[in-house]
Amino acid sequence: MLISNHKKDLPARIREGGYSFVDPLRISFLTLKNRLFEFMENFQEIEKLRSENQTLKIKMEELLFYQKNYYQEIISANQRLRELLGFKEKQPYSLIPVEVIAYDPHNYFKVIFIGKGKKEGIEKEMVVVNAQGLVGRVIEVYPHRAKVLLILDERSKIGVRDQRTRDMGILQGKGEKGVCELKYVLSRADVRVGDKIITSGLGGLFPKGIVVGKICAIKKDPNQLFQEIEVVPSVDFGKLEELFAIKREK
Amino acid sequence: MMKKILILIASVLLCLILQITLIGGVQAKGGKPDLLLILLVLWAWNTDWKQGLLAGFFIGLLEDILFSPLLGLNAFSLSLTGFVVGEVKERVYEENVVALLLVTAAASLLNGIVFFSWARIFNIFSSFLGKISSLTLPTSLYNCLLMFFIFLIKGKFGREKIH
Repeated sequence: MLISNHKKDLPARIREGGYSFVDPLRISFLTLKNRLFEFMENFQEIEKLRSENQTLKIKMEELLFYQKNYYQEIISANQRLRELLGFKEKQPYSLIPVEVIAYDPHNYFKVIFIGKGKKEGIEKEMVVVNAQGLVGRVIEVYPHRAKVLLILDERSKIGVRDQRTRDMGILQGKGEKGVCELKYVLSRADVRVGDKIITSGLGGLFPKGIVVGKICAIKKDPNQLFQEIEVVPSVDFGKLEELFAIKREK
Repeated sequence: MMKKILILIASVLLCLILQITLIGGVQAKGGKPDLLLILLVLWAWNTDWKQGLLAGFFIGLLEDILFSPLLGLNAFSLSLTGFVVGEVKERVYEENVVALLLVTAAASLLNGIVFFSWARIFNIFSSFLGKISSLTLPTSLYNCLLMFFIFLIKGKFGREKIH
């Protein structure tokens, strides 16, 4: 029994030995085969992957473009409109929203064109403002557009006052220099650099209290009756987009 | 002749649109390139003084109607400029870039001087010399630069056409 059992175990041992010898080869072959099939599959999928990669790249570029341009534009437009809305809520006047459609071709005259005219309720001498302050006034009206004289133009003259001291003067544009001149402020007036200038409301053309700018330079001469004052407008005239025309209450 | 007039009208309209939307929007403290003046110089340079004068009058009148507070300011200065450019062209070698650039600079200056003289006479601006130094001189420089690029582009396409 013992001998038979022993003899029966031998073939098993031999088989086991054989398996243990063959198995690594089998596994190696199977691995090789799998790798080969995988490689073949990959090879077949290269075209598909390439096109998918291309699509994803385009999509990514598109998203990057939106992120860098469109979304930024939306964010800044949103901020601007919020400011305008805030400004509109603060103003006791009736406002007509207008957009800048063209500029003066040269720097000779400081004028802009807005995209609304007589048919949309725009009238001559209407005051134009934005969230930052006073922009100018309408000087010519057409059916669907109007010309606005900016406060920077030499022909523009506005009655203003210093918000702190309440001293009054006339604000005139200085053309291409980007600043305005505050005229007829007496030498004894205690105006300072940084003082806020607002419309005086005198004359009835410009509503009272609209921010115009800040004093940026003062030249005092005791022998002169008036001071030489320069005012930098609060409005950034290089970024004019959405504006409001102030409708006069009748 | 009709074709020429149509080309001029189309070019003027294109330059005008570019000027009032693209260049006009730049809030530079000095001057700006004047596409309509460059167009006039090129037109007068490639035709004769009569066409230069007429084109100058047409462009100037259009500018006056659209932008000027006084009718005739631009029409007069640009007619004179077109005439002078057309006259000068008869006396110099047309293909010389230096001559073209000098004529562009002189035309810009002449246009500015005539324009601001009239504007000063009619009390539209306060300082004549201030306007010439702060607006006309930079404009003249920008016009020369732009004209130089136009000349290069024209030369390149001209050569390609020959080959």
